[in-house]
Amino acid sequence: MWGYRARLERDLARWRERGWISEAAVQEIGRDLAARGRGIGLPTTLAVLGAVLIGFAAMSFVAANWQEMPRIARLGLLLAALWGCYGLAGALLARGLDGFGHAAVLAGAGLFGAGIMLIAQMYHIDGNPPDAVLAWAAGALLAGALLQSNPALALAMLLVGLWSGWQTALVEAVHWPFLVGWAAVAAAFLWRRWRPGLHLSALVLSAWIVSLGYLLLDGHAHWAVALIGLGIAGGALAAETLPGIWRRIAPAVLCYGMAIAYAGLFAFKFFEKRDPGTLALLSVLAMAMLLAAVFWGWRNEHKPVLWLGYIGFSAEVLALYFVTIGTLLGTSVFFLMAGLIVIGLSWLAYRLHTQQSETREALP
Amino acid sequence: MTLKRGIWPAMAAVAVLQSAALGWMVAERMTLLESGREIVLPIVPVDPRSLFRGDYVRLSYEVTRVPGRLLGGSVTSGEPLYVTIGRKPDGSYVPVAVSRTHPGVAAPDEVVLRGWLQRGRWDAGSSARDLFLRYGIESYFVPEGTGLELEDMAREKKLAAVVAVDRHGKSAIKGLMIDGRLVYEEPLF
Repeated sequence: MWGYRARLERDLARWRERGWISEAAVQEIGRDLAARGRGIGLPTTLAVLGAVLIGFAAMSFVAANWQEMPRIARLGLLLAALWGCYGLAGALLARGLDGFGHAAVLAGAGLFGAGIMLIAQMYHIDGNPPDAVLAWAAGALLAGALLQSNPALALAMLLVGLWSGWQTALVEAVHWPFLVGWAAVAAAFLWRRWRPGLHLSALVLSAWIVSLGYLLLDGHAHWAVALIGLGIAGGALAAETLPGIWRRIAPAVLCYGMAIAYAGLFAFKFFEKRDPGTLALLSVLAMAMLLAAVFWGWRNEHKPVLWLGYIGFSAEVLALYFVTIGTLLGTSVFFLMAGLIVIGLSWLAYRLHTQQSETREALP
Repeated sequence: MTLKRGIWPAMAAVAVLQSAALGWMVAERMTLLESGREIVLPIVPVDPRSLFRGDYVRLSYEVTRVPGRLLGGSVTSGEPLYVTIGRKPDGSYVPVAVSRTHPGVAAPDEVVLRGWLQRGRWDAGSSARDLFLRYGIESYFVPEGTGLELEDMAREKKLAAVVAVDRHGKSAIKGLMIDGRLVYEEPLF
């Protein structure tokens, strides 16, 4: 948003100088920008960060196991702080100070987690730590859903990820209940129509899908992850042609699908033993896929896809350099061929571009 | 984002439900400590350097290690196991049976503990490996900076945990004993 506004202001100044638009138009556009462009303000951001710090303060307070105060008094203190946070949140929301109100809700949800930790410490509970994280996530989801608070829902989603990751590390098997917890929080985000939350959900789900490659089929399921990712990306490309909401979310879904597919392919190629021929063939495929993504991102002016393509390409080249295809000489030949092909593509793109400009100029 | 009407009932509902959840956790532990059967489990001396990590003590028991021959098939760390432990004349306990469901009423000198595989999975077929279990009584939290004190005591003397066990096999630490003397006693709350 900030970048867009700065760029537009620069452009407006230039267009005004050239006399293409009037001073009055510049003023009008400026007013329109100011009216519409109210994103997440700095005060709200700072308040949310402050709430996060308070949450960490409470957790450190518990960890210190400070003996000057009886444990029941410490629990009482945490409960009082929890009620204080929700009371403050109510007062702030009633006055229309939504940003601050939701920061207070987030602090309350954080204190709930600190309360769980304190009780675990009081009774030396060492059962299954992920269970405690799940209880915390449920509390955060409750606060987020009932109070329509996006920050608390974001906390719930992060906690669902932590719960699942921890459980997976302990059991060393796929954690299917994750899908239930994920769907519950994602549904709340969908109901709230909060885009950042949906991106967070997509990110957490992508990480879970990528982890399947390491857990299923004795850790040799990376090819399946790559196929799932390609399927998602293909679905996104197909959705591009559909009207309405599908078309709008397609580019973002394409990004996640690409990232999943490439993560699976990367693990499949580099974390398992492959003979030089297969490695070279798969690398050609990966590079073709990444170049196609770069091309798609460039043509549709979709920067995230473009950048994902560049990042993936760099990762591919670096990994190949360290792995080597057969011998160092083989790697050298591979890079030389790839370089020549990409330069050829660049020349082709340049020709297409100039041709397009010429036809456009001939049209007027 | 307008929730002005009805904000207070919603706010109160969240605060009450979260407080109730915390209260329920406390009540559940209090019942267990108060009414659970009390046993004394000797703590196996482990390398004192790794015994105390940060601000909690890592406890290991004789019943942590269960002979693999007591269980057939395979098990993952997500599934509970019920270990029947028998009291020896010297006061310590050894595992005598393992099952996937609670075996019901135990003999007078036996107690049933619910535990889980510490991590990963275990197969009877692959080898006669022992099972390493956790019962949820492996961490003992101490005030910041006092771990070393306890460590010194544990090195020279016999350490044991007083554990409460309820009829479902759930266990909780009630206190620590050194040389048969109760040194740390947990208040109920």
